[in-house]
Amino acid sequence: MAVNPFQVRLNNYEGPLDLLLYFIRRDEMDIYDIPIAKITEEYLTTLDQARSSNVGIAGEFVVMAATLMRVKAKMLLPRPELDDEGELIDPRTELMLQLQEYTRFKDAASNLDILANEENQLFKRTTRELLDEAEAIPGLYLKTVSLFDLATHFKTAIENRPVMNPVELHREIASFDDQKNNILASLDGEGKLRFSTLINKFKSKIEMIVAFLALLDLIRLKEVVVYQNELFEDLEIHKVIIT
Amino acid sequence: MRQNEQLQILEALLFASPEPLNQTRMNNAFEADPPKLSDLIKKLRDKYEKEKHGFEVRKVAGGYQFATRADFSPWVRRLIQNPSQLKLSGAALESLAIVAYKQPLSRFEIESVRGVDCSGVLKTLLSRQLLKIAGRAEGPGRPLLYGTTREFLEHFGLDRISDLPRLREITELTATEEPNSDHTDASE
Repeated sequence: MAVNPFQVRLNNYEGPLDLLLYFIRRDEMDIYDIPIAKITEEYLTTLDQARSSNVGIAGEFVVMAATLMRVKAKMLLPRPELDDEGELIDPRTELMLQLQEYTRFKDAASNLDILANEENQLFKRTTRELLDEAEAIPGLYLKTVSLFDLATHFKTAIENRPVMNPVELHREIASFDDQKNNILASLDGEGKLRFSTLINKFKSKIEMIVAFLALLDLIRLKEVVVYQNELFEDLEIHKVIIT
Repeated sequence: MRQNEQLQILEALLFASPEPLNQTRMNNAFEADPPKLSDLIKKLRDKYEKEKHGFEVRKVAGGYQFATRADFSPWVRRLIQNPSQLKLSGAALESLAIVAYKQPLSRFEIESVRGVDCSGVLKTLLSRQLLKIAGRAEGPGRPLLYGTTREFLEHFGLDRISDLPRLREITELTATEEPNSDHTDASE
């Protein structure tokens, strides 16, 4: 099959709005008075071409096709809809507002791109390179961890927990203070403990949750700090040594 | 402490600082009686202005840093040949622009402007530390809210978020279709 050199390639666009904006700018259409029949046809042709060349079409493109056809159908209705004040409702209004909002941010994005390029022309005196190096050699440097990282790790730990078949219901005893002492007691000779080691000690979810809360409290009390060597890697709990 | 010595200390701090130097960080370096950073910076800039240096002190992300002057970029670029800066994709730039102007906001609000799913790009921007989680919304489901970071300001050479070029008003869209026509130099 011959490839049309003017074919609009779907994956060059950030989404359906970007594609519509391309048509509008290329054909110098008025954004306040979009020729809906013309643009719908253009849009559907592009989608068909993508489909015939076996390109997967993202759901958003299909949704927009439906929107366009609905607007087009409404435009053809002999009796136009009126709003509460008896004013004519233009079926294109919603789409128009969406396109305008998108245009503003697309322009803002290209402004940002210009800023970044200008910034890239300057060379800053920072020791940031050292930090980059730290990321390149995992395990060599320690990085501070945010509460968010901690929560992510907790989620991973819970999800990786072996599946059990709970049948009996019984009250599980996991006291907050016990878990705090448990964490402090589990620290090794150097005052360190891996988060995974801690979590693996527990069988039940409630114990893990209480241990996690206990860990947060220990961090709050500045008794321990938590480090992470690399993104998504295990966390290390370190005892704060008071000098 | 003599004025001259204070300027020398400031130079040393600017040279060594891994991130833009602000008053708080400078205070850590002085045992007692830290001088006012903005006053010292002014004196240092005056001095550099007189002496005609190849670099300058610029204000970015609420602090100060040394940077080569734009006039000498061609030479420096030939010296440092690999462009170290990460190039952001269109999707990343669009998402950043929306967050920058409307923060804090949820993923849903970002997606309703872009009209596409943004979960992947937001994850990347979070891990690049250009965006951060800025809390949770009050509404149903309490969705996470996104905001920009200090790294964002540094990446785009901005001092504050309010230094971003003004977002075009809807009415202006029809007046001119020239992209970036009202781009203002925010680094000044």
